[in-house]
Amino acid sequence: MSASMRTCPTTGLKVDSTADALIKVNAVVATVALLIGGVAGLLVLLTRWQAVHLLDVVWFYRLLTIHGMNMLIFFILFFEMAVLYFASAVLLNARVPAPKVGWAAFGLMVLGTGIVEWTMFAGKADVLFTSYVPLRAEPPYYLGIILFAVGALIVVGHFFAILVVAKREQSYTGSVPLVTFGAVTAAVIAAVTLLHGALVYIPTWLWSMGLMEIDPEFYRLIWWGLGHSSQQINVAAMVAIWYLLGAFTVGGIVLNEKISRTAFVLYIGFISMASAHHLLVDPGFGPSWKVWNTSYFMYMAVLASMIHGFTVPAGLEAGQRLRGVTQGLFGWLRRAPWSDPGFSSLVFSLVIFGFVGGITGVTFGTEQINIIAHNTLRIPGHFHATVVAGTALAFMGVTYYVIPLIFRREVAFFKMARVQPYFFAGGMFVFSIAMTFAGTFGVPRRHWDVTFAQAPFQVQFSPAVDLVIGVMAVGGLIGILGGAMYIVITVWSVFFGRRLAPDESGLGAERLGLPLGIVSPPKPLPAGADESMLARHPLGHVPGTMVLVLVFLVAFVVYYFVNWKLLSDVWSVG
Amino acid sequence: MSDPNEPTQGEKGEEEIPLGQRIFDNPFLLLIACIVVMFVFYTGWGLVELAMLPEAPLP
Repeated sequence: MSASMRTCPTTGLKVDSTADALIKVNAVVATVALLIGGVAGLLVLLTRWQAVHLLDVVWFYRLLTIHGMNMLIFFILFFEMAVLYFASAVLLNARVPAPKVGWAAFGLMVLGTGIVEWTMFAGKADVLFTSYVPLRAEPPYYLGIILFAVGALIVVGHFFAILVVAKREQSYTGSVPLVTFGAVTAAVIAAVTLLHGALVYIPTWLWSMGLMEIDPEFYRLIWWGLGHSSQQINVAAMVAIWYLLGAFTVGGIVLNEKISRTAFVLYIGFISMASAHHLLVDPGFGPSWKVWNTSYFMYMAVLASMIHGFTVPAGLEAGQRLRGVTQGLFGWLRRAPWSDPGFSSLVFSLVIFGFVGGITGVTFGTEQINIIAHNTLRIPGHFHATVVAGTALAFMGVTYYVIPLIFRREVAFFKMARVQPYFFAGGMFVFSIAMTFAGTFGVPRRHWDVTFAQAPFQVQFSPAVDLVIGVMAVGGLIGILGGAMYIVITVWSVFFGRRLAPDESGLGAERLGLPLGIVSPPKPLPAGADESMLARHPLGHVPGTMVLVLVFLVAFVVYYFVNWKLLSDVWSVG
Repeated sequence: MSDPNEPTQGEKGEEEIPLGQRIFDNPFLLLIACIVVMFVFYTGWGLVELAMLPEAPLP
């Protein structure tokens, strides 16, 4: 073993010191971005809540830009860089082949982030996350994003280099683990995403300096190849973390490697073109392009998500049934470790991502229905369920394992950590649902004042809108409280938490500060355990999951057809 | 059935690795596939659509 590697006393994995350090710094910067974006989100929420309407119009759009960039780009991507190092160097017991390159890439990302933050706070880039041309920010804004993207692209290249080195040096045999395969999926999508970023931001930077012209429709096409695909990196990383947390917390298994890997490959092939559903009402593209990209191909990615939506809970159920938790349909859920924040985060992330984010996303991505959802609050309602309650919550859940395993610290305020996912998930669930309902009434997104008080025309929404937006605000405040709890816990743990001794595994520890999956890990399965050992039920080997999946499918069908009914009310025939 | 953190297929013996697994085990092949599909159907086709748009007559 290399001198620069340590052996984790809990998992037995060998951890390269550079990977160790890069995981830590990326996670710390991600948390700083989460803090900035979260405070901005709070202020934006208190403005959209018409009863409070806190900010003036300039600061509303400035902070909305800051909220979008920090949450959708900086927090998520810095965390994903940490995931890439973990899933490659740590899970494969591999060394990092070019530590200086890793640090240079991190430096570029931090430099780019700093420049973008400065331009946004200084009022030089009030252009929102999408920065649609001809809205023009000052050139350093685009330069900062380019530097950040180049840094991220180098990390992706470094990730592939680690895979090559690991294979050549035989630090693993056979295929990479499924979690690493999920990270490969995320890295592949990231490469395509960042290529679109270069294609759009370099000319836009030149345009901002008056050196060239840029067509707004060209901008929208290429930008969404970045803007939406970047969120698909999240999806792949989040699913990989679901499998990881399932194994850590209850000994979840993979029912069928081929099926799960095929689902990841479907993401690789087809998920990025979901970008087209942002352009469904654009006049520049014909129906063939729109329908092909949002239906024929996007549904392949939807199929992949539905496969994972079955295999992850099925793996949790089968893993527990094989360990003797066989009571009834849902005994495996009732007896699950709900006080382990890793487990509760996993389940809430999975449920809200699927039931709220997934169903609304597929419905709004239908060309005809999109016309009644586009540019309303239904869209942010959808992506707060996917990116926030889905991805961010999964990242939070895995953090409670990263703190002891990588930072080698106990989780501070552990009683608060146990309830933190409940606050965050509960709040964001209410927020997303209420936001989607408000959008159903036609309330526009990205709007400072939905009463249109100073407008030369009258727009009267249903009186129910005030109530729904009030519910949305309450949900958002609870979710923000959950986010603040996460930041307090992680910052305190990392900088002031009790250090674990180098050989301290945490196994059997009686004091608070370590998640259950470390203190009392799932019992190893009996040798040769497979599905034939599971009791046969009329609904199959995993009957509880089958029931949940059927409930999901019914909800999907009902919501989909309700939206066709809403569309028919808009377009009366006869 | 397997643990998602453990290397799995192909490690147990000298048996031939199936074609599908060999494809899945090659991240660069997956990268090329992703780039080709996205750039052909979304980006390339979209750019062709824009290039073929007739210029709007001025009012």
